[in-house]
Amino acid sequence: MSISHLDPTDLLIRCRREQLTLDEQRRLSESIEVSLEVRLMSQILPELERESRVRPGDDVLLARINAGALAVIRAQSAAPVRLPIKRRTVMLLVAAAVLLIAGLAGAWLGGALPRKTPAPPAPTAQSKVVDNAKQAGKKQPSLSVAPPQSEPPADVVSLDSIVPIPTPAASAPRASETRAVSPGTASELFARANSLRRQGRVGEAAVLYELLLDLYPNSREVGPTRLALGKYLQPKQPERALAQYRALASGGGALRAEALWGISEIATNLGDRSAAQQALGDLLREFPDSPYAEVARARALHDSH
Amino acid sequence: MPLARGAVDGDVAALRTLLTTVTPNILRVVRRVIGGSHPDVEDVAQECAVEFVNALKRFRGESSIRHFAARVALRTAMNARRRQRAAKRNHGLATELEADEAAGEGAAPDALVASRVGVQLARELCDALPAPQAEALALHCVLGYTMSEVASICGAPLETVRSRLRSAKAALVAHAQADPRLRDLVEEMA
Repeated sequence: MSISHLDPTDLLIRCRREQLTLDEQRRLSESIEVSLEVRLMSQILPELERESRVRPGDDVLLARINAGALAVIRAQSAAPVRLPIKRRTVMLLVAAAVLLIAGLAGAWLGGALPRKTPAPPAPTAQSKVVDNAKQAGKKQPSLSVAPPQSEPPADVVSLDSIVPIPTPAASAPRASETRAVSPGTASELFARANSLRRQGRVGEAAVLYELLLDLYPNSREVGPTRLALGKYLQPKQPERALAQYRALASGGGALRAEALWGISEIATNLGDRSAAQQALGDLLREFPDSPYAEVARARALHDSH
Repeated sequence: MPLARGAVDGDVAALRTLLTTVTPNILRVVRRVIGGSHPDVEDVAQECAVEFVNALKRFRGESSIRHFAARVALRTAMNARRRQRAAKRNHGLATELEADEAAGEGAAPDALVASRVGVQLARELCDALPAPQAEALALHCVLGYTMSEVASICGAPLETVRSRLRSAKAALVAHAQADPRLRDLVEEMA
């Protein structure tokens, strides 16, 4: 395609790349004067270039992005292989059928289903116990009498066979009550905190992260929570962030490299060179292939001079 | 292409090298789509990098690997932006988002207001236009690719891209003419 037939906005883009001839520059200037579309783009492009320019610290940011992406990809490839959809459907149907049969059997055994009893049954030892209690004028607890598989002799039935079944109202709070007072499971809390952080509500997210650490100190979400909290606290409260990173690093695991990097950054900012060098040394020794390693080597070299 | 093939075949070194090569480009795309000072730049860039690796199986070498990465990143970042807007709307914070976008990194001199409003209009249009037009507009006006590069990236004929861009840019001009913040610019052009 001939350059002279380029669209004015194409000319503008080539101008940003310093690829225009004098004649094309003249054409572009004329277009900017008369066309709102070209004028707008001539203002939008430099502004976007400013927003996406390389900044100090981008090397570390890129290393973190790469490390995070590699971790996600590894986790994806380690996930169990999903069965083909037809096979899954059949297995789900079989499971549902088994559950249905088990449920019906349980209901029948528990006396929930009406049973054909043309004649009143002969009093058993269990009903005798109940009757005696009634006669004594005592208030009956909520009891259910387990129906015997076969009619046992009256004299061998003991009170142990009378099993109290707690009613839902007595045994557990209502679902609405649970929602009102329960902060949720560790994974729910973690998901809620992440969601808030993505919406830019980082302060609220940090509160949930801290709540998670308080409530579920042994959950598997603790590691990523400490990391997220460390990143949030690092600019304003480096000592608290350092505590989170140290706790994360002491636990080992896949996030130790991130924690060591955070420790080295904070220690450098706080002027604690020995702690920074210690963290970088550990990082290089334990994670030589980590994306942080290259930056860590450069920093260690710089610090040694 | 050999790097991409190696990455698809599970070569970790190839995957790492490939990511190191394209991630700066991905970061640039993300900053242009959601804003350079947006708090989610890192998360969205990571999501884009993962999507890029997952999409490598579909890469047949019809464009450069950087262009392929830019397209995947653009789509992922635009989806992330739409999700965030929807979430903000649900929390009644739409106006706050708009204020954030207009404000940028600090108080802007008057001369910069028009360009920031222009960027905001372009991003909003990318959220609102039909997908092919939005993609063409974003590649051309937001990422700064020429029309022939957009055609190559999208795998579409040049005339098709030109037509999509004509409609999208007309919508951009219409929005600009209706925006009171750009009244001075519009009157000057008239």
